[in-house]
Amino acid sequence: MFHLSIKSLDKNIFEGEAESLTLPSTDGELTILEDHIPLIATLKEGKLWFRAGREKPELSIRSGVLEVSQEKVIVLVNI
Amino acid sequence: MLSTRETKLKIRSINNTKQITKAMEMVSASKMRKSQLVALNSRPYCQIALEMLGKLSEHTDYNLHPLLKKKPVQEKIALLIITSDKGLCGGLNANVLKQAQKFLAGRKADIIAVGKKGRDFFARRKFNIAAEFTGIGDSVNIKQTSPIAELLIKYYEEGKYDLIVAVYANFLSTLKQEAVIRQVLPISIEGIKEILTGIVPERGRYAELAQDKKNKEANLYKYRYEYLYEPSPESVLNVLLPNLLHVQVYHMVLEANASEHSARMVAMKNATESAQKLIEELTLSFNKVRQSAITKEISEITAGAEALQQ
Repeated sequence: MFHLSIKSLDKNIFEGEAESLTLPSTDGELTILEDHIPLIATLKEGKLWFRAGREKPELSIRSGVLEVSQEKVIVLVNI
Repeated sequence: MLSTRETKLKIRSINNTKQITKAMEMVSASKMRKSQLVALNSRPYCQIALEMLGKLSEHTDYNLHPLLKKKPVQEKIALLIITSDKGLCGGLNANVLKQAQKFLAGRKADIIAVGKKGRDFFARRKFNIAAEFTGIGDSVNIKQTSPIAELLIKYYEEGKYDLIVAVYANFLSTLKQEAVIRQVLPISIEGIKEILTGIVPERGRYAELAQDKKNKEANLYKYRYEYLYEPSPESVLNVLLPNLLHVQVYHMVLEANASEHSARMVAMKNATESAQKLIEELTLSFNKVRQSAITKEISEITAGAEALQQ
C-alpha cells in the first residue's frame, strides 16, 4: 500500500491509499507498486488505473507528470 | 407635490426595483463564494507543480526554458485585460481600465480582451484587439480559460509578442478589490506564487487557509531524494510550465470573477438601501398629502354643517 494523490488542474481527483497504479509514461506503460524508487516521469495520452481496496477506477488522460517519492505518489494530470 | 395616486405608483415601482436589487445582491454573494471555493480547489496542483520545479532546478537550469527566458528586447507588448461582461458592479471595471491605461501610457501594445467591457473600451479607442474571449460566465471552468493560455503561449513562442502582461481586479475582501498588473509571459515563478496566495482573503471566511499556505511554503524547498527522471528533466519542464501558465490564467479569471461578484454585491446593497430610503421619503410625503386631504374634507364638512345650523 502507498499513499496516492491524483490531481488535475482544477481539482483533486483521488487522495488515499492504493495498492498499485498503472499509467502510460512517455517511455511506455508503467506500474507503480509499494517502495518504488523515487522517480519523476512525464505521461502521454492514455488510460490510467489504480487499485484501491476493491475499487479499480480508470481515468483517461491527455498528458501529465508522475512523481514517486518515499512517502507518496503524486500524479498531476491533464484530462 | 405629486398627487396621492402618483405617489402610490412611484412607491410601488421603487419597491419592485428594490426587490430586484435585493435578489441580485443575494445571488452575487453566493456566486462570489463559489468562485473563491473553486479557486482554492486548484491550488494543490499548483503547489505540487512548484515543488517539482524546485526539485528540477537541481538538475537543469530552468531559467533557460523558452517560456521563462526573458527576451533581450521587449518591444512587442500584449496586454491581457480581464473585465466583466456585464455592468452594475460599481467602479470595478473602471478601475481595471484606468490601471490598464496607466500601464499603456506612451507604449504601443495590442489588447487581448477577456470580457466585453474591456473589449468595448479599447475598441472605441482604436487599439488593435488581437483576440477576445467573452461569455465566460459566472462559473469559471478551466476548459474555458485554457484556450486563453494556449493562445498566449502560441503568441509568445511565435515571437508575436515579447512580453505579455495582465490587468485584472484582485480580490482582497468583499469590500475591497484592487486592479493589479502582473506579468504573464515570460513566466515569472514569483508571480505564480503570489497568485496562489492571492485568492485567499486576508480575513474572514477561508482566511485560515492563508496561514496553512504559509506553513507549507516553509517546506517548499526541502528535498531528500535523488530522483530518476524519465525521459529527462527538460521534458518534465515542458509539461509543467505550460500547465502552470494555464493555472495562472485560470486563477486570474477566477479572481476577476470573484471581484466582479463582490463588487456587484456591494453595489446592489447600496442600491437596496437607497431604494428603502426613497420609499420612506415617498411614504412620508404620501401620508402628508393624504392627511391634508382629510383635514380639508373635515373642515369643509364642519363648515357646511355650521352653515346649515345658522
